Amino acid sequence: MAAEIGGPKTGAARHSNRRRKPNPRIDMTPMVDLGFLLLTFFVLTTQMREPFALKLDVPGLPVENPPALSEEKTLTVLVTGQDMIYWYAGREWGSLERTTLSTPQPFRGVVAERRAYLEANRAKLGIREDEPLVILLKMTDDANYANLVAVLDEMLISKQKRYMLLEASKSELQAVRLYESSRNEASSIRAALQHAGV
Amino acid sequence: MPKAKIARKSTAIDMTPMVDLAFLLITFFMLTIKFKAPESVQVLIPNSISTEKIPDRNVMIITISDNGRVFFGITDPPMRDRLLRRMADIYKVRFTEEEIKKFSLLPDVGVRVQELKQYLNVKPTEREKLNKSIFGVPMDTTDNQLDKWVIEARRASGDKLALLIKADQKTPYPVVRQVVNTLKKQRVNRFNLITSQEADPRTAVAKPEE
Repeated sequence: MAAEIGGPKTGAARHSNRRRKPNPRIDMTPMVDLGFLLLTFFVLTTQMREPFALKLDVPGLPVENPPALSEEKTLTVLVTGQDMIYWYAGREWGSLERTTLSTPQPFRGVVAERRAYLEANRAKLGIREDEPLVILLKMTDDANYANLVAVLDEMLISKQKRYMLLEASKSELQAVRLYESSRNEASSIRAALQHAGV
Repeated sequence: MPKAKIARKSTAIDMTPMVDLAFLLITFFMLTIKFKAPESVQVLIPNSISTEKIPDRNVMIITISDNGRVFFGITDPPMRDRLLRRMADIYKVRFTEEEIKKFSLLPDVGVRVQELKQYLNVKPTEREKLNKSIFGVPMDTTDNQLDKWVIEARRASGDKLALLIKADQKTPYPVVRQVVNTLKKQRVNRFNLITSQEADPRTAVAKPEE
């Protein structure tokens, strides 16, 4: 009916004596349908969050474990599963401490503390001015990829330039196990004491 | 008292503004779109604060799924072509020209070279189903095909390819270590781990104090 503007009147239109005004409104529904279909398609296929690269340099082979480092300036981090990390300063792997990598990020404090300690005691420890803190990241079999990225990310956040990705040694794994079992013991003793009403 | 006459309103709504908006959005998405690359396996990448851009060309990507399957892919189709010819020579597998063409359209490979011929001849629709059950590129000490893929890709490209590792958050570390060690033996010591961005806590913490 709308297609007859200006053209010779044919059929039914000729019989009506009142000239019908062509309706300028077009039914836009199919266009809208199509529009939203395309919109949905683009929304679903588009990749909004662009991925980024986290650089990782690993020591070449063969790995000396750890390569000629003055022990005092190192901080060793053992990365295990469940976001748990164990750390010790220098070579005292007997005195492990446990923290977590999830918020509120107590590990950042550890790095800062250790750096401050190193700066304050350079003369006493016999460490040269140009030797910064070195963090040894030691992975265990229980860790997953997210844990690895989390510690590397911590290095980036703490602006720690010197770190190395290594493997945990047997004695370190043993230390972790000992730490856990002594913790369990301590908590069971505590529970027993509480139970006894002490 | 006569009732007030309520005018009957037409139910037709003016859709023009909505359509305007819809088409505006379409235009926006069409212009900004960067299609997701088709992948053989879906991985959920971890977050980091890194803002280092990833190159779109001249890269090889090693994808490791959450259950430890390894996929190897390179971005440029002509390079894939050359790479497959080299691999075919090494493993003494004959590929027809058609199969090589099919291979150059694949984003990555997750089967043994010996099984690749069979894999290529599967219909694309069925391939998706197959991708769930394939074992990935082998990395055993006796048959380290990942090693060969990377070496040959580096040779075919004149060592121009950057290496990206894309692994799932849940990927067990021993698999990652195996991949890293394989590459270390080739003196590849620089890796790029693909991560999605999260807010830098240094700036995020600084804001509320202001």
